[in-house]
Amino acid sequence: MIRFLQSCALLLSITLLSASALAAEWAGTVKAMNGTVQVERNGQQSPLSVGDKLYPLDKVITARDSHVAITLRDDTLISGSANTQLVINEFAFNPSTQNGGVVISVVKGIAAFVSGLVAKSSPTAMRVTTPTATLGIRGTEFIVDLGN
Amino acid sequence: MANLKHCVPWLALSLLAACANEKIVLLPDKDGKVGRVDVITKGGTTELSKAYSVASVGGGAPRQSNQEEIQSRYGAVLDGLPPRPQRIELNFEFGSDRLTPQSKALVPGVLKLLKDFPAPEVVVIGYTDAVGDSAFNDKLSLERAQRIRDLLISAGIPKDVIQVVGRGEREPQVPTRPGVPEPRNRRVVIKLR
Repeated sequence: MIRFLQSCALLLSITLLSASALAAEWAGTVKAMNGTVQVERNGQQSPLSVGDKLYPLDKVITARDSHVAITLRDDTLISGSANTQLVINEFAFNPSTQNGGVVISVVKGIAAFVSGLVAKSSPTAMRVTTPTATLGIRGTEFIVDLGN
Repeated sequence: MANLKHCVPWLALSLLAACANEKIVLLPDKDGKVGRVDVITKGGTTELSKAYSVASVGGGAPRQSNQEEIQSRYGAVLDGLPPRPQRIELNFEFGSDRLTPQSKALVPGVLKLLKDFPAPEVVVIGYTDAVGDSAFNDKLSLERAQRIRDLLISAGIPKDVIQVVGRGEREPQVPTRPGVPEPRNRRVVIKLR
């Protein structure tokens, strides 16, 4: 019985641990926006505001005459123009070692980037993808214009 | 024949769509250095390594543009980038969590910077010099960081966006032998993003 309780407690603490780890694993924060900016998360769309956190697999969608500015946890800066869609495909960052991996997709529109600590840590650690290309980011500032 | 006439505009349109497409522009960094972006497609890799060079995906060699052209086309999206992350350093008196007079004088400016920063996220990291044992220095470095955190909270920065770390005598600004007092190592680094 004690065994059983012990293993229950262990399981519970593991679950709690991973839940708190997950809660901490946000990828970035909305620093500025205007117009209508939505996030698509788990198939549901909801409006974003300044200060909101973004998570891996989030898709950020700006409407006409809208704009969004996002800072990722590794200091990567992103500016999304109007009619733009971006997905944070992967984000991992260890602030102590400054290692990690970042993959952002630009699905539509125009976005400007300033790469951060992950790209600095290794030339293969950050990628930006478009519908037809993959960008290997050695640094630092660049624009992706999908022309649509 | 009538069919063919119909086709011409469609053909032109689809060609346009195929060419209009994806462009990648490399810009100089804030400090004037130029990085590098490799544009990888099925057809091969195009390397962008010059400021204001533009790769048209699938369109051969990159084209050289210039600051004026890029600014007029992309000025809005570039101006829309979030503010650059900042790093601020404050120094402390020997063996204490009191700021030096010089650093104390910087505090109002630091607080203003933080208050004006959109949705600030702050990491406050305390350090010591190599005088005293490491357990004492771990504690002192954390106290220094906490002292600064309290200052930020009293200035209205939300508590939950501030992370506090004490690094003791690790990562000295100026490496010294154990026991050597070094004012530049008695510090708190505020990372703001």
